[in-house]
Amino acid sequence: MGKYLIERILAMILTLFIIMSIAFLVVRLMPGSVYEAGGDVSDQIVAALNQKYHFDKPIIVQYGYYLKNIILHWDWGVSLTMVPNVAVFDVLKDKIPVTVQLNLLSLFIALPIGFAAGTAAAIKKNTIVDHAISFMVVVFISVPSFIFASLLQYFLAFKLDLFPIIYSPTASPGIKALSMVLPIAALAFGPIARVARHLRAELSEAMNSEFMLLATTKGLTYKQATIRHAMRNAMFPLVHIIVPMFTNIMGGSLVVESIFSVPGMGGLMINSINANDHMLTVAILLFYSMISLVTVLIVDILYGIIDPRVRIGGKK
Amino acid sequence: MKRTLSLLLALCFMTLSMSGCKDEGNTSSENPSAASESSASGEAAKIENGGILKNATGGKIGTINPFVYKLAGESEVAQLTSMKLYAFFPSEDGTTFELKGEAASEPPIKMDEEGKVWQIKLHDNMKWANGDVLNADDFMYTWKMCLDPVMVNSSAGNLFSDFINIKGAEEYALQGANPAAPVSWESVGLKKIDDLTLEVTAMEPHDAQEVMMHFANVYNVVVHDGTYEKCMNEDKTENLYGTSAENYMSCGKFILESWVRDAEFVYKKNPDYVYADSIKVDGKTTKVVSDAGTRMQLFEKGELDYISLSAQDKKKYEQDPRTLLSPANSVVHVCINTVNPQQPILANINFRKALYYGTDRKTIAKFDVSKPANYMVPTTHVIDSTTGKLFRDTDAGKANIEPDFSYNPEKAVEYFNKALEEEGLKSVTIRFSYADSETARVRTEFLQKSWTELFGKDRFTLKLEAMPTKQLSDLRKKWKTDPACYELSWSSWSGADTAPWNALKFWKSDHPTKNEPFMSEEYDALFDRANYGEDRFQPGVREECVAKMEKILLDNVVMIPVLQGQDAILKNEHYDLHMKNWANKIGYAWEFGHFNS
Repeated sequence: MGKYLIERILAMILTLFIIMSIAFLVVRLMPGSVYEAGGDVSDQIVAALNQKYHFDKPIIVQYGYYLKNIILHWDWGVSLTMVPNVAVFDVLKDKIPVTVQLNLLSLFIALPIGFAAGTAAAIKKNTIVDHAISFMVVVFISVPSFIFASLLQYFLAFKLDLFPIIYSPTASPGIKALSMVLPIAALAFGPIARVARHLRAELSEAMNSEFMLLATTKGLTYKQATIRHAMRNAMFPLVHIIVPMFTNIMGGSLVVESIFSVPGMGGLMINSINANDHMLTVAILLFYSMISLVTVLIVDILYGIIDPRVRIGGKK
Repeated sequence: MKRTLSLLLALCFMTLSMSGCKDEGNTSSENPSAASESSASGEAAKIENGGILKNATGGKIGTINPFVYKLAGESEVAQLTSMKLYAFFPSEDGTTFELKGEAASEPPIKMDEEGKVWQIKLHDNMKWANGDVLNADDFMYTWKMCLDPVMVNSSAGNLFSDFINIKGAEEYALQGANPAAPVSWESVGLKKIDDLTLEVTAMEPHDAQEVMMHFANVYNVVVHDGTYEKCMNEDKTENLYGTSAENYMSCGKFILESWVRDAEFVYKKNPDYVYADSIKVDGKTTKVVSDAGTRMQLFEKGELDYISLSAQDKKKYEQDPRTLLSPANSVVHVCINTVNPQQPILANINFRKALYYGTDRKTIAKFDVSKPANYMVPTTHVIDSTTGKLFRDTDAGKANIEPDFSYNPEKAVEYFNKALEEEGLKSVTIRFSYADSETARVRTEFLQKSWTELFGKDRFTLKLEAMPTKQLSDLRKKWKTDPACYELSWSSWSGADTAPWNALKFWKSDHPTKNEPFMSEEYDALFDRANYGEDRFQPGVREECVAKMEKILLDNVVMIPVLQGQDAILKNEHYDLHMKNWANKIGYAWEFGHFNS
């Protein structure tokens, strides 16, 4: 397992390096420059700025400077247009906690509700309960989260005055917590539906399996067999969707964050591309790539832990 | 299994406790209604002392470092919280702007015959928010840092060359980090005479008004030396000044108390500000709310005192008595790429005139509460900043305007037929590139429909092409290296509204980022005369030059002026403005108003 982990981590570093190199080249080759003359900035100033950041050099030389700064000084560059002069990872550092806080809370709410709904639908399959839950799942999956966000904001905050209209980071802890309820709710609907739908399908299949018949034949009650055997087997495929949910929370939600004025990660990538903030764009790409690679690694490791039949890196 | 169950139970418990919080919140002091009531009553008490002015902005602020900021919103924050030598203030009667000293105590004093050397006296007893004395040393430090050749600041050009060219400043700023022949700071025409006196030496003769305008530039605000030094990196190539409330020092109308990036700015009134008596409110709060619908809900709920309306909401609230309109500082026009080898007809003046006279400006302007425009110098541009006289109100300015906003379908068809005949064509197909916004789409589709109907479906086709704003902007400027890059497109330029002779620089032959391939020696000569000519200060010279430059652009149909936009603001009736109307440079001067209840 240790050897396997080391191999995977080394492969991950190599992959990240390749991604970083491609991202740097692609971003720097995009049309438009970081600095452009026009308006209040003269040609001479633009030339001096390009010289300062080596943008006047061939792309491969620029890449050399980029690597040199990372290796020698662990300097990943600074944001040049969006948050001028601030180190690129400091820009991300300010935004990640807000996004993580909201998304993590929304997942903590979504998972038990999703589990409960999925289990109820599977146990009460083809009854009114199942139909009601399935209807809810269809609505939650098909209606985008920003529609829920707008509706919640309009009715619960604006009309009924039950919650603040926007996220209030500087308010008292009580008001701040209340201001988080609506964005959390809007973000939770999707995961609730996804978990419920998958769990219903897996649990229904598991409950019709032969091992359930064996378990009840051996004297377990239906409830005991469901909880001890069916649930456990049904959970295994859910790792596929739940782990990525946890790791993807770093990405934020562009529209929901915009509606509730949450100063999070949502839209940072698009804004940095539009603003020609090249070093920031590369840093964000790298960050997301790392998250994805770590997710894949965690899923693979969890397979081995959850299901004893799966062993990773075992002896041949 | 037990572990899984425990985990599930824990999660359920968390959910329940959170929903418990929610219920509790609805009935406890955490209820936002209760909170808003308590804050309202708190504010009622505050209103007697001035109250807190609350607004929202859609734009995100990256930095308030005056040496590097670019956005209007960023300079707004800096101008609220810092000072310039000279600044624009509302006039006493609230009808126009007044250019006067902010840190400077009086207009600049001419020290030589020619008008190249000027001394600026500062107010005594000026302070930074931390109590440090603010004097000539702070301005000298600011100027030195702005022009720092190692740092290379994007706004350095606004200090060394705007309304005046400061002696030796450009050479100093652009000498590079390791120059072969270093230019010393001492050679720059910026000197401290004593703690309250600065001396500026310009390259050319100027009048006091131009010197004041130069130092009233939005980039020329003072920085605090201690804080700036603290924010410098080791090799002094980057600086974090103005990237957070902690990395910033106030001295202006307000003190920046807190700044949550992309969320909120909180200011309190600065009792030590030079004109503190003219600020009636206790403070200001600006929320960053990018969604227009959310901003509207906050306003309607009374949580904001004023908001900018989106293009969609402008039409809806046009007749609302709370709506304040202000003219945009630019004319939206159709750029024409006359050197496009694939469309030689664009070089035909009769074809361009056909489009010019075939444009129904009145209808297009109605789509988003704009004003039709068949001129290039906007109605906001002031020809004489000492009197506030607008160029469009002068006889020369009026003479350039044709009746009916130049919409003449018969004339348009006549020119169209003539152009097709001259080019030996039976029909023409043109490509119109526009930014992928709703406003641009509506305008462009109207042009497509109206031009096609006017010139005939079988003889005229307008193909539309939408793309992101940035991409379109880059595309338009590529005509020098790629002449076929675009055919027709929308554009607008915002020049200095107190110097229309300078704002017309975008059509000068050597302007580096011009959209239209227009070259004219006559135009260039007029521009040079108005900006650098020895007789430029004589009455009427600049007015005459501006009128002639505009006429050249219109006669040659270098572009097709279509409309002048209007910004709309929705204002709470509890707040009274000092300004009776919108004015250049200061708009509605929000911070000079007061609450009426």
